[in-house]
Amino acid sequence: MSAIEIRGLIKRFGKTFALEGVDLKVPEGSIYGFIGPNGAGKSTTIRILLGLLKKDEGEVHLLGGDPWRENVELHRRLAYVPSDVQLWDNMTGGEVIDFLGRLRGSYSKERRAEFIERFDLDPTKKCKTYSKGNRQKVALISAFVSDVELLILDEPSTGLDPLMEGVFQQCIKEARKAGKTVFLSSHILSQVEAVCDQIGVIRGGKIIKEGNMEELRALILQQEPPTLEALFLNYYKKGQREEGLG
Amino acid sequence: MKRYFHATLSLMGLYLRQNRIFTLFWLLAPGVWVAINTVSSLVLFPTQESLVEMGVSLIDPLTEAMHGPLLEVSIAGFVTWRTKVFLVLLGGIFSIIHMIRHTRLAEEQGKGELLGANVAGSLAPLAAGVANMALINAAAAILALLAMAALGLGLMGSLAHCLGFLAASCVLGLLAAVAAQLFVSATAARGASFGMLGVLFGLHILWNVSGGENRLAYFNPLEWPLLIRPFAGERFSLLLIPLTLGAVLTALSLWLMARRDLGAGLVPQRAGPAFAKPGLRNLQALAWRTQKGPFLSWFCFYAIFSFALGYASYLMVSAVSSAEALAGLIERLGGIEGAFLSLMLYVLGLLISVYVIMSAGILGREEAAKGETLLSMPVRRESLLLSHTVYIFGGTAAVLLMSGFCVGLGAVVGTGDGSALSRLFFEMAKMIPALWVIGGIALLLFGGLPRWMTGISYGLLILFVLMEILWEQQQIPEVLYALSPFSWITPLKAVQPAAAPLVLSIAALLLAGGGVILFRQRDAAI
Repeated sequence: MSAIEIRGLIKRFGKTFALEGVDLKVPEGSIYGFIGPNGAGKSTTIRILLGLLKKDEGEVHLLGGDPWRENVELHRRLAYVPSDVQLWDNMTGGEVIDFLGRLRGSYSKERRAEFIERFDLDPTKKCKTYSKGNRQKVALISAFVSDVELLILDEPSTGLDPLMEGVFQQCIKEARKAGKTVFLSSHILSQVEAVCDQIGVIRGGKIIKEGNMEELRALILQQEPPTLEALFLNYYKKGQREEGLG
Repeated sequence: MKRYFHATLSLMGLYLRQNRIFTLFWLLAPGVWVAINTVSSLVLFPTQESLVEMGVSLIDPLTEAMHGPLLEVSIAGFVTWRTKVFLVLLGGIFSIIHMIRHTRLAEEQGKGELLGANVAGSLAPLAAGVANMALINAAAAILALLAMAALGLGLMGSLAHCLGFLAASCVLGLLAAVAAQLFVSATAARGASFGMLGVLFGLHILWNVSGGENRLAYFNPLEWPLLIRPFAGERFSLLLIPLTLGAVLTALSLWLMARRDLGAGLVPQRAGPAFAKPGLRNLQALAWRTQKGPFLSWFCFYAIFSFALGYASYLMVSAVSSAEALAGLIERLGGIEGAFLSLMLYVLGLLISVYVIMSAGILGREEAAKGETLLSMPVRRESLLLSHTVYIFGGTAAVLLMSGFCVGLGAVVGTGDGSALSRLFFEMAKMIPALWVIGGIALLLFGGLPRWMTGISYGLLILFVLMEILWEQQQIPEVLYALSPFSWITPLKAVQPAAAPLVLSIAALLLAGGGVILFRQRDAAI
């Protein structure tokens, strides 16, 4: 079973194409790394998955449903962390976590205390005084606290220090162990390499490579140095050459 | 010195290039306000007798509480007396916003860090903010002085008047510069500065009501434009007080700035609750958190102002009935019986349109900034819209009803006429559907053109007001004027259509419904 399945997805903003036929499949219970350069269409794809944007063409299945028409039912079963978290200035971090938890409907006091402790967040501070990293923590805690099947994370750990980055990676591995699916869009290729078992590379609104980590491992070993980063840059340059840019 | 003030001049240039519209208003408003008051006084009181009559008869308790004693019965004396408090408030508010923006707000937004890491003295941002504040206030005062001189008000008195409000504005701005050093957040610093202005204003009213001399008054900036006695034997030596006070405050703010870390303050940030109250569990509760500030401000301001208006309007009417020039004006509005007050209430009600558009703007910002977080929750889009519609429609109705009740109550207290209460209450109440139409337009735009909502809404509001003026001058036909929701409730028509509330309510409902349908179908504006 796939938690997410997209076929031939097209999205236009006016005359410009943001997505030119995206195909991808996220197996249930996996951690899927969604990587690509800036402006490749990562956030647009995610926003269509969340029913925030309307697709123009193609098929999108999220947890077996249509993300645009069945948004309320589906949102009960997922949690989302945006790349640039904006919060309510006059509310404290603790209030936001409680509010979002109650709105989603799945939430427990014990887990709340556990994750606030693990991410080392002061919940009594007003959101406007939080740094970017701390705002990100509020959204991450709110997502991990919830009892959902799918986590959609859009560059979730930007602004986190290396210590917190470690906590974050631990948390998503635990989520997988608990049977959850994680869709992780990221710029940090070392992070993707460390935790993901499936990878999709998007560029210019199209998926240019998809596969599981085991298959990619062989390709990575052929790179110099043997990292996902080198492989990614290789794909990226190849794409540029094909389009006559490089 | 270089360590502290290097690059102050470059920063002054940088600040001046920002917020140009704001600066333009700040520069022009005092001069325009004085000029309008001078011209209207010249028209209303063509002779010395009419002015003497007004000068004596106009001094009711409320006017005196606001403006203090009239020192000199002449056009010049009258204009300076009427404009001084407003000029100080205007200059003070502009100065406070400017100072906080370039000190604490800039630090909060990280601009302070960027500048601090660059080749700039550690005190240069504050010094540049203070210097610009003084310069802009001075330029505004010069423009006002030129306007007064051009209208023939006499140079010495005009100079005293302008120096009076210039000194007061600058000192209020410097108080904000000190407050900006004490508080960690810009909101708290701004709040403290406006709170201080509120206290000074309260003392001003208190001293005026109690009458008599008060030595402490010399330290309240709001009193300086009176104490400098324009056109009544000017006392320029008074300026020594603001000069000393200004120097002390400038030194204090720089001293505090030099002794604290970037981003730190002397008053620590208060911690909030670690847990949300049980009630904070749905979009309605969230909308209350984001809408309550503006709603309660408008509600309270309208309650107090309406009571004062109801109470004073009857005094005004009895005062102006004997002034010939005004009597003619009121006659044209359909006679003295209530017409004057009706028109005042109508204008008061129209101004609530600004609240309507503001509260719709909060919904717009909520979607733009937090739409990703909120709309990825299991909530319907229309629930988000409806949670704010409570304020756009219900809040507006509450402000109008409260205003009508308070105007009526004020009138009853002022005259002892018991029938005024229900009459004035319903006069305000019947404006509600017209304002709902403004809310409906804003919601339709929210659904269709979210990024343009606020701009187009204000544009249409101005257009409706212009249509009113053009229709009154018979420049546009009745049919065209009917497109404005205000044409259905204007007191300038002898009879308003009986179906007006129904027609307007249906129109508002259709517009808002269109907004909901469009919002459900469009991409989120994030």
